[in-house]
Amino acid sequence: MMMFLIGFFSGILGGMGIGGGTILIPGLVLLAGLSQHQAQGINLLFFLPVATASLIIHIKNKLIDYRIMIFAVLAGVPAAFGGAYLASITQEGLLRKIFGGFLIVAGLYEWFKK
Amino acid sequence: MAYFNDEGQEIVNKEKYKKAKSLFIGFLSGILNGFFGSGGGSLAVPLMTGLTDLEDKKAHATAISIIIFLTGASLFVYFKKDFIDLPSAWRVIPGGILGGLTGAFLLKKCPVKLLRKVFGTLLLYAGYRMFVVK
Repeated sequence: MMMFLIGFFSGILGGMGIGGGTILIPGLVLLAGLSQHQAQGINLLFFLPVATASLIIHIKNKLIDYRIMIFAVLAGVPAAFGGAYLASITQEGLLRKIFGGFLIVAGLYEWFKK
Repeated sequence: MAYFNDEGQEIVNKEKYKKAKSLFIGFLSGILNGFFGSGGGSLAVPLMTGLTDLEDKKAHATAISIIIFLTGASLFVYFKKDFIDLPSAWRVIPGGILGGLTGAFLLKKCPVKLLRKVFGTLLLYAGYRMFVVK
């Protein structure tokens, strides 16, 4: 039930375009006791169906810049392999702390932008 | 080669380094997506609106189209390294989908600006807890 609620709450924020993953991961780690790596993995998995659904609508509305997409994917895919490998060799506690730092930066950004 | 925007005006400068900028945006988002398993979008959208002439909506849509590929690559590694806890995932994802629909519905009726401040505060607290726990 706890997991369902964490998913539900993050989903609401994601659906509003505010960023669901940034709250899903700490929720799973702090409230459901998953490891940082497992929580990140679930967030990745979670993104696929949600993104596919919204992508279909965006393609229909012609909102995608394909030139930017192609080149970003070209550089991004090897970078993602690299980043994921880096995460896999990073110790759980350290990865969690780095992620905590990332959340604090993101939180400050929400408060002080514009 | 010249490029034209929707109004048919020639746009040279912002288009000029578009390939290099796109590679740069993709690279940074990829590292973030792989390392944190999230957050590629929160970086890609502001980078795209800042560095290229994409408006907000298109940047948002294009970011999703990019991150779907990045997520595929990251997931490949996470699966290989056995970080994917499928039983937990099946318990989280249904709630997430229901929440996503609720959120998209609420979007029209909610003061998003205020919500962002609440969200920011929540992030600060979660970030702090991630530091001190265990």
